[in-house]
Amino acid sequence: MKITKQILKLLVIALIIVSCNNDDSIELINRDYSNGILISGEGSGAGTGSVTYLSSDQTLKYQFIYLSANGTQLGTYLQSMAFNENSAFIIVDNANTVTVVDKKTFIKTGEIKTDLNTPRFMTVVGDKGYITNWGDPYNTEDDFIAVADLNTNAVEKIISVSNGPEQIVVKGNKLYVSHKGAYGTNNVVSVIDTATDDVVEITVKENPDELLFNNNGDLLVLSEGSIVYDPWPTIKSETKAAIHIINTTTNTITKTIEFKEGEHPSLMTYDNGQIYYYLSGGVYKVNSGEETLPTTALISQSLYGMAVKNGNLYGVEPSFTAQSDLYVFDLSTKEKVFTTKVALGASKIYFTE
Amino acid sequence: MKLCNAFFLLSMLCCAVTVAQNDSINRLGKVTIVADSYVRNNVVGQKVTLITGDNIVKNPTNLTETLRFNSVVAIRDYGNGGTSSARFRGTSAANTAVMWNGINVNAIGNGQTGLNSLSLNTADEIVIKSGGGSVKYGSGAIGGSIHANDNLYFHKHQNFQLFSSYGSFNTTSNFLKTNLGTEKWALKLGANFNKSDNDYDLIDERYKDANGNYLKNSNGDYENYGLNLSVGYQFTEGNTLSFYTTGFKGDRLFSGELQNPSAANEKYKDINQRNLLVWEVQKNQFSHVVKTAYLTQEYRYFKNKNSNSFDFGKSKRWLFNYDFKYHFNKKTTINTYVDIQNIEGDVSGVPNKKYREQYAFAFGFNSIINKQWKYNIESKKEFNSAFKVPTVFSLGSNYALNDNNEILLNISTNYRVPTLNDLHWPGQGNEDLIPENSKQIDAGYQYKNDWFTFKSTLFYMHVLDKIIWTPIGDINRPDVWTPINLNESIHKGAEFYASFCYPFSKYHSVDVATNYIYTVAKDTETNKELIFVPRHLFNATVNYQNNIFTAYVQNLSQSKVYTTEDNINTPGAVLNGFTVFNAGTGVSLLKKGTKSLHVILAVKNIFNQLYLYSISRPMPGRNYNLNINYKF
Repeated sequence: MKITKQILKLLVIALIIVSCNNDDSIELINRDYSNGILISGEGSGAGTGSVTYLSSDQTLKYQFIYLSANGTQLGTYLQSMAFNENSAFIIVDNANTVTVVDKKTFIKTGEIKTDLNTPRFMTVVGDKGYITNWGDPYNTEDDFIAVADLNTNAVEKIISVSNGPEQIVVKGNKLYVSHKGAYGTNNVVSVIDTATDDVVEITVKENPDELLFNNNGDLLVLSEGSIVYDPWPTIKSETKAAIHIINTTTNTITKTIEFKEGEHPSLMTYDNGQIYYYLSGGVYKVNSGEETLPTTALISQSLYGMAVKNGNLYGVEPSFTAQSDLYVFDLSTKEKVFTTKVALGASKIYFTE
Repeated sequence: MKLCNAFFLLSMLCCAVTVAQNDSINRLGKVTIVADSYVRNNVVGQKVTLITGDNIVKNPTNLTETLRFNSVVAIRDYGNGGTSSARFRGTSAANTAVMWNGINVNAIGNGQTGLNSLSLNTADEIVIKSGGGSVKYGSGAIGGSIHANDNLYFHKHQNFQLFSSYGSFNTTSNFLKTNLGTEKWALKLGANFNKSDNDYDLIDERYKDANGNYLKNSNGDYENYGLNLSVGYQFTEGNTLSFYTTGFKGDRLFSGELQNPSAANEKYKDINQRNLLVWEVQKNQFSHVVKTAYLTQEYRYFKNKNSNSFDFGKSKRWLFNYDFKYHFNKKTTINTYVDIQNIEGDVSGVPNKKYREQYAFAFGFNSIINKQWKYNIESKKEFNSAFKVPTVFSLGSNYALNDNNEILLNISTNYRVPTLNDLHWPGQGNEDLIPENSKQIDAGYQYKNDWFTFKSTLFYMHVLDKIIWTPIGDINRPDVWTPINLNESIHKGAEFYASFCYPFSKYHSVDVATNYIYTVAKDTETNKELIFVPRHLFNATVNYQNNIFTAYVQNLSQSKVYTTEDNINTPGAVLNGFTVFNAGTGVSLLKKGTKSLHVILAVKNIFNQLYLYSISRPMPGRNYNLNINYKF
């Protein structure tokens, strides 16, 4: 049995060679990410959700900062992040997980892993986290806001709401939730009293998504409008998109700026009295007080996420199979002044200063 | 990948003496009907390897595992038992044709075959053909093809095989295979049943629960049944009618990812049915093969396993094929065939059923110039109701240097048609797509003696007009994902196969089979490597047997793969290379004529290696199973 023995011997040797060079561990890196820009990427089959850090002066960039800080990955799809003074909360919808990290170092300090079902967005009120959940995206009856105790990271109660709760913002003791409708459509903004958990609904145009407060403290809502094909490209029914301004004292709509039929904006941000919105390949600007919408784009660029700060517009054009592009535009010259590669499936931009 | 090289050298060195697998056909020496005899016997200029029943029983859990440990096919699956697709030489899953008794069974919807959506445990052999074969096997045969054959033997025989295995994670694989026959009749019946809780520990040290335990693979259960029946009748010698039918029903849950596998909640069902009738007449210088087949396929995808709502895809396919051969003499043959197919697809969300009709005409010329040299030329033109299909051709040649050494050459063009999803997906499909196409050249060298077989191929392939789904597909709708004919890629490398079987004495024998493929597949525009394509892929099985005792070791090594198209080389965007070993040992409790009974204890992933084929989805750690293989 000489040959047999020899083969086995060689197999064992080969095995040892392999066993030695197999090392999955990652060197953990402790950095300070507290002053700069965070770009979250949803991730895909090519890589899980991840976060890219870019310093305010754009000279330093670090990719996969959660992975570098913790050696582990976040899962897909990283939907959004929320912040309080010390922590960042990373919401990954397919993983039904909110990962809590130190805002400065991104080292994990906890996680909310139970009683969530397709979590989307979160806002923090004191030591409570309010997390919007779709439940089963096809089911219109099981949607809720999970209320998590941030001392224990446990969901202490849920508040049932209308279908497809998306973004959530807080003003005083009122939470405002846009109901984009999950895989269907919806046309309400819920107002939740944090003391009583009572829910009041404000009817808006279909598919409200982005929520922001303007300088007057009014709530801006971007309703995208809906479009139903039967079959594509035959349109069965279509509703108009609109920007609503809601008075947060009376919780009534004070102004609605309608888009033209066939226009479906998907992003909105606000800076210093100006509303910026994104509509099929272009960024438009409208003064908060205007009644009519511009007809020409400020910047022509396909975007999936955007934010404005200090006269610059930051926008991401994602790739789900490679790194995405981050562009910075100078709003006064409308020129692209900076481009860099960021997280896979980049979708949201946050300023941490 | 030092290791692969080491292994490769090893197999080269030790396999100086060996034997090819004896196939059943030679052993029986009687009339045998193989529905796809072409791939078995008539491929010229390309590398063909076999996975026999003895290989299958070492990896019976699913087809994914069978192929991983026994072929050069790189497979990506989404967790153990999940969606699984095969890629030859770095091409896409839709560039791999899966053939059942010579009929292409790739799904109409996505152009692929899910390797966990069929069971081939009762196949008499699985033939792996590397390289393009669109002339013979149609759309999708760009990278290579996988052929499962059920054979019918016309002589008096009665063979039964009962295989049953049970092991970790409540995993069981079972099949019954019966071959019966007389000079006139032949019958084959196969039944299989596979089931697993598939709730293994995800052995990644970095992810543990609050109590310090590993997380478990959740929502990964599967259960499937298959039944195959083949019947043949021999009117006279050279005049046979055979009928093949098979049904498969699979229920699976789709498992979750790290970091929270318990979030998984998806369910998937497969129901496939295939029927094939073949009439074969060989008389004088003429031979005719008439085939007709009717195939149905259905999947149901439940986003929420507890809900009754699901997305589905259904297809019905009817085909008729007439193949005519005329032998001028023993050396020269021409053949021509007509293929007519009628396809109906019905996908949830697509408002109307979609139909496609296709007609193909092919012509071939085979010539044996002398004892050493033979070649064939084939060409095919397909007409399709939906789009233009390129004319494809193939030139193959074998040249024997002497009794042991042979060189091979194949040049061919191949194609993959756009799928129904590519064309008609609501709001996104693109009806202007044209088929993907490829040009390739294979140059091979093979050596064979009584104990040892060595096969090698250098390949070069240029794939054009690749259908890619991208948000820039439609300039008028910038954020909508649509498919377009976009990329080009070049695939080059080498494949090797070596096997030996050495009977040391009357009682002892050792056999070894090993595959290695080196692939460099790059996008021509970006010059980046294609994702999920390992440069090195190696597997080997060493089997020792005496009259009582049997033992084997299996190995599988794969080098690092990039997961992003820009080839970011950081831990978040690569899958590390790995090597896993399986081993089995057992006893023969009965050995009398054709009767045998083996009981084997197998240990898979002996060294409890963490390895992944998809990000965040570790494969099972060390696990065990006990199996009984009874032939009577």
